[in-house]
Amino acid sequence: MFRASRTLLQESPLVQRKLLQLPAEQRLFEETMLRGRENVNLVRQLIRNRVHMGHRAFFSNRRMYQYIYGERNGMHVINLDKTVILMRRGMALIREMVANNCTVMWCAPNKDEIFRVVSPLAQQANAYLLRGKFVPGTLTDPVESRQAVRYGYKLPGCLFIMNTKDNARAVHEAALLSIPVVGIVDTDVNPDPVTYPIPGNDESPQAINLYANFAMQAMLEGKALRERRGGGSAGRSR
Amino acid sequence: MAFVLSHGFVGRSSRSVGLMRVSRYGSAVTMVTAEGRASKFESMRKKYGVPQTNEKAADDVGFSYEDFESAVSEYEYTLTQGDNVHGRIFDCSSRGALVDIGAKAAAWLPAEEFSTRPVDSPSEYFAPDTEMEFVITSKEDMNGQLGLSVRRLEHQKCWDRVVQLQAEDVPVTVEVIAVNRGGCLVTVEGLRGFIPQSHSGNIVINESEVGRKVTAKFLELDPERNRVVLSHKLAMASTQMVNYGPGDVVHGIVSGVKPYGIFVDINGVSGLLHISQISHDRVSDIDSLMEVGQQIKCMILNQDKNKGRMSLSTKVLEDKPGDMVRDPEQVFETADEVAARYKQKLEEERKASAEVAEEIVSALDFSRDDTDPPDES
Repeated sequence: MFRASRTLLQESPLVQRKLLQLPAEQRLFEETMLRGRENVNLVRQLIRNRVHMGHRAFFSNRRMYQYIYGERNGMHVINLDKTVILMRRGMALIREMVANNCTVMWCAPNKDEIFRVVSPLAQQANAYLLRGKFVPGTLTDPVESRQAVRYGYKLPGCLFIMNTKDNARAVHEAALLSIPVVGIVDTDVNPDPVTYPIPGNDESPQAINLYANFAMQAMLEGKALRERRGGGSAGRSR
Repeated sequence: MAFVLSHGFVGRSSRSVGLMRVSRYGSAVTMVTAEGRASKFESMRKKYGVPQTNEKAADDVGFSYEDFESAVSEYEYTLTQGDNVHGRIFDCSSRGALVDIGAKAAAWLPAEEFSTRPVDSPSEYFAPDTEMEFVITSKEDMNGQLGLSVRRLEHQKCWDRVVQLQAEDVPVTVEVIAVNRGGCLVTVEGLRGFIPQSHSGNIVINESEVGRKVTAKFLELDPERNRVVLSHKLAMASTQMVNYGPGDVVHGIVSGVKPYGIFVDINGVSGLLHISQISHDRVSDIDSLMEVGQQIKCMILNQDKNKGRMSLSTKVLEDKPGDMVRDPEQVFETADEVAARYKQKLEEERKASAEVAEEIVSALDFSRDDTDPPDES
């Protein structure tokens, strides 16, 4: 329903080649390659927190097949090989955003029990966590929708969405404004409109706890980077 | 196939890798899509060139797809409706709790299913990270979430306990929660039960009885229909009937008058005073003789403890035959003496008959008994 016509295409080899030539991406690729053993621990941690479990095969989105490893007991299993790479990529983006004085907006599931877990992590990371529904027009029309107060009156540098399926509207608005979105996509979600999709489970509270922890760590690292690079004298973000 | 980062950067095209079906009977992996056909992206990649990646570098990570598969299979689960599972509570809220049972999504335990007894504050009922047994009540919904219940397990345990208590025929303490025309509703061992009016004994059926704790015994259990029927009368009978035995003179209040006799209530236990046992004379009209609520004295002939019934008699309390019809008051006054005399007479008769029996037995000639060994002569 919210087809964004000008979103960044992921799989085109032209774009891939262009991406790889960017120094930042190349650096990230090599960085990830060097951390071979760390990645194995990361994969085990992801499995332990049930990140690899996808929905039933019937519900899977066709565009997620690239990230799915196979089927087990009727449930699709996500290829954590790709999740690791994309996770590092997404977290690096968040880190760079914070290092460059931009704010990050988080969207989490509204269920009480899960929200209670994510809320202190967002607070620790100084991120703006959206509680409740994403009001249409929050980003594109902050004056009329009166939602600007929820993200500090400054358009966020990037969005971190943990339940992409329910927040399709947020993804669309961010794409309209060229705000990159780091989103956790489950097997039944269309990953195309998301700039930095991270395939993973979005149902289990352990998995969401893990993602929020990663994002928080990335943001704290970004803050340290910013201070190291010379203090945020011009325009402190928060 | 080497695992991490061996096939280059962000996601190779879906067409080349294909969807691999992992068989549940082993680690055999079968490719679903055809491999030979070069996809559009492959041809484009060949045309425009993509930087060559280092296949070798990732080999020494030591984690292959087989390792991935085996790690994944550790967390495999087959859970269906009706299974008993072991789970850990993640967090509680006022509407329910999320429980980690090893499935994709945390299972949902609604607040109504926390326990058989009513719960005051659901958000503090369970501490996080408690491990408990649950039973799965519903199939997976669209998100893969299962519904759980603890109340059903407790319900089953309550029923097992109640069946055992009935087998042992033990009186239990129950609490009255509601009263209606047919009897009263009670709670017993976490289940709802019912005491019919005929078995209520001395519980008066009105609102003042709500909240009172009484003893009762199980009459009837029907697990399929969730029916528990109890009897207060039987419990009373077993505790109170030991006080009296046959031959005792007791006070009672007339509780009902029937054509065949009078029902007398003695301390909660009811007995029947049959029309033939009222007097030696023939009693034609009982209504003229007794009325409901009247106090009388009578003697217990025999008791049936199991059924909580007694047979009574005033005939034996009569000094002269026909006294009950003429002057019941006098009979009641002299009842104790008459009863004592009657007992004494019974005792003498019993002794006499015992003596006679003994004489007969001792006088028996055993000399010509067939079991004697024959004389050796």
